[in-house]
Amino acid sequence: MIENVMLGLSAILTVENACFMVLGTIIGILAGAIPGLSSTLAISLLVPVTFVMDPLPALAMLAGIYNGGMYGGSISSVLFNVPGAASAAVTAFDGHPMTLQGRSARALELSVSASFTGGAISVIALVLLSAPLAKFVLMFGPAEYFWVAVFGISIVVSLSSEGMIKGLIAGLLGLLAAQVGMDPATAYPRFDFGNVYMSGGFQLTAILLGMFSIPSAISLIEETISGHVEMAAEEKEKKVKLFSYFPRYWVNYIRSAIIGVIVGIIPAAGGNIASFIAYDTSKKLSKHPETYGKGEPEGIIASEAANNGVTGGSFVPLLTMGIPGSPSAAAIMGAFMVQGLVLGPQLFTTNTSLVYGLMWAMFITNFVMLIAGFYGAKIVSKALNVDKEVLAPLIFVFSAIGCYSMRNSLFDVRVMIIFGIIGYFMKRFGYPAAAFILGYILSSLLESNLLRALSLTGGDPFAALFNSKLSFLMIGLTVLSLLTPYFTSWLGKRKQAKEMK
Amino acid sequence: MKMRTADIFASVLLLVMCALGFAETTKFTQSAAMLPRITFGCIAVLSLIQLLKVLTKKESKTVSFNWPRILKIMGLSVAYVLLLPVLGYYIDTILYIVATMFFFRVRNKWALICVPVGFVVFVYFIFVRVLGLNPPSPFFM
Repeated sequence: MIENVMLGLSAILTVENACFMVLGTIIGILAGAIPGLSSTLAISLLVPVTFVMDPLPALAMLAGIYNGGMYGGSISSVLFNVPGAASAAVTAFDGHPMTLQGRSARALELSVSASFTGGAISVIALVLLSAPLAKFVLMFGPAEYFWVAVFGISIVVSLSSEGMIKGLIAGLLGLLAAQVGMDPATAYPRFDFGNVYMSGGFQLTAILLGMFSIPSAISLIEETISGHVEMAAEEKEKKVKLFSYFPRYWVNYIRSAIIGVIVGIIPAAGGNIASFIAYDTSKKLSKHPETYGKGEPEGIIASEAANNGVTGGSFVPLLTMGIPGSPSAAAIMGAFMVQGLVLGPQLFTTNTSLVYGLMWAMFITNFVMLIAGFYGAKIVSKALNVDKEVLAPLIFVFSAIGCYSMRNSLFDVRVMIIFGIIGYFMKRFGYPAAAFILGYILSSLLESNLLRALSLTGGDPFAALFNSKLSFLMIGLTVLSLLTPYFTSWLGKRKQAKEMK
Repeated sequence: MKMRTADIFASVLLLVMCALGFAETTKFTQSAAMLPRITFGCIAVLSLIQLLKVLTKKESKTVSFNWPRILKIMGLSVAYVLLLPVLGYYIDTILYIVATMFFFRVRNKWALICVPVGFVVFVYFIFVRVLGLNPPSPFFM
């Protein structure tokens, strides 16, 4: 493993990669900080640009956006009580009260230092876990891969705020969208309605941009932010040093980062879930839980260490099985596809320097984020005043040119706008876009392995799909993931009933 | 709009889509039809469960839509996409950005000039000069 890590280091240490990592991290911080934008959106917008780049600088830039975006969301949370990204919503609970108490510099320092700790620990976990997991996945046959895809789709339930059914429907609609075009076994054109463009299927970039960027642009225009903005008190801490609270709160830094890593590894669970769990855990274990929500430094540490802990964790299932661990990882998966790279255990042997170079990029961009975040947070806060009426059309036209440039096709731009409008209504009615994308991505894995498994057993579905312990393991995990929401809701109700008594 | 109404509408729409889609799969070969049929079947079952869940539940939250703004931005965006092959990327983009900003009450003349022009110059530099790509040209070129 050490050889591979060193190989990755030698691949990443070029001026070109360094420039793209810095650029990506800064774009990520800005995208995360501006409410309505997100790292997922920024990655989706830049996936078409990576088409003409070499794989490593392209992926290093996107890794920078991912890391930077996770932290960037906390800047507007802390300063204005407006979370720049969903994952930073929890940071506002204590971050903004600290700003009102005149401790915004300290809150931003805690946020960036916790984000760094979370990100760094998650990369270490990524390096340690992904290679053994990839070796394990090499034992998988078509049936196991089929169940992996089913497990991936079942996991989308956690993405829906409106419940399991809507999450599953969104995932299945994504699966259906991917079935437009030639079928993988006989190249029979499906749902093309005689249209030559439709018979080629939809481009992932058009779907990504349609489901992520167009709904964001429409929402930006639709929203009108109103409400009373409380004024921050005069800054009390004049000289704030990085990591000065680390010796006092190191347990929380590390515990929350580990929670983030674990949540990140679970396919499709994102930074928002991780930060809520870590915040709740930190509050429960605290000696003074009553201070949470009133400017408690540990609240910020828990939230930020956890949401950045997700970054490396979400790459574990992505690199080893081709299942993204978060919406941003799903968008990065698009960049792998654009580069013609097939995710899975083989990637570790065929593109070793790229895989480990990417891990190094995840690690190095954490340092860029630490420096840029600590010294530049106040500057970034000035960029938050961009008019949404200006931002929204720019997102749209940038998406259009990005989508068009993939294969010089106006059909793709039309597909993007149609899916954009559908995606907007899905988002408003609680059907998660990330679940749709996950279904779309997993479709080929699911169908090709289903057909392969059936062909190996002469069409007998039971012999094909229920033939090994690993298959049953994956089926068990699928059932577990489907039952988890019911179990947690039952636990919550039981706890509530106990408290009532 | 009540979420309940939206959920009923979405469930019925999905059920109709499943019925039409399933009928379409009868034209496919057996292997090509297998996954679409499974998918339609699962969506239909889930939509039915969703419909029953909504119909048996009394309380419902509301979803508010700013329809004038939504329809304006959607209309402008669809017009932009349809006019792309006619006007080409640069002219169409400038017109779209100016129109969108103007319709949404941006009245700063400098912003109305500098933002679209600055953006197309940026796109030209990145996509044409650096990446060597060609945006759509107008019909007369």
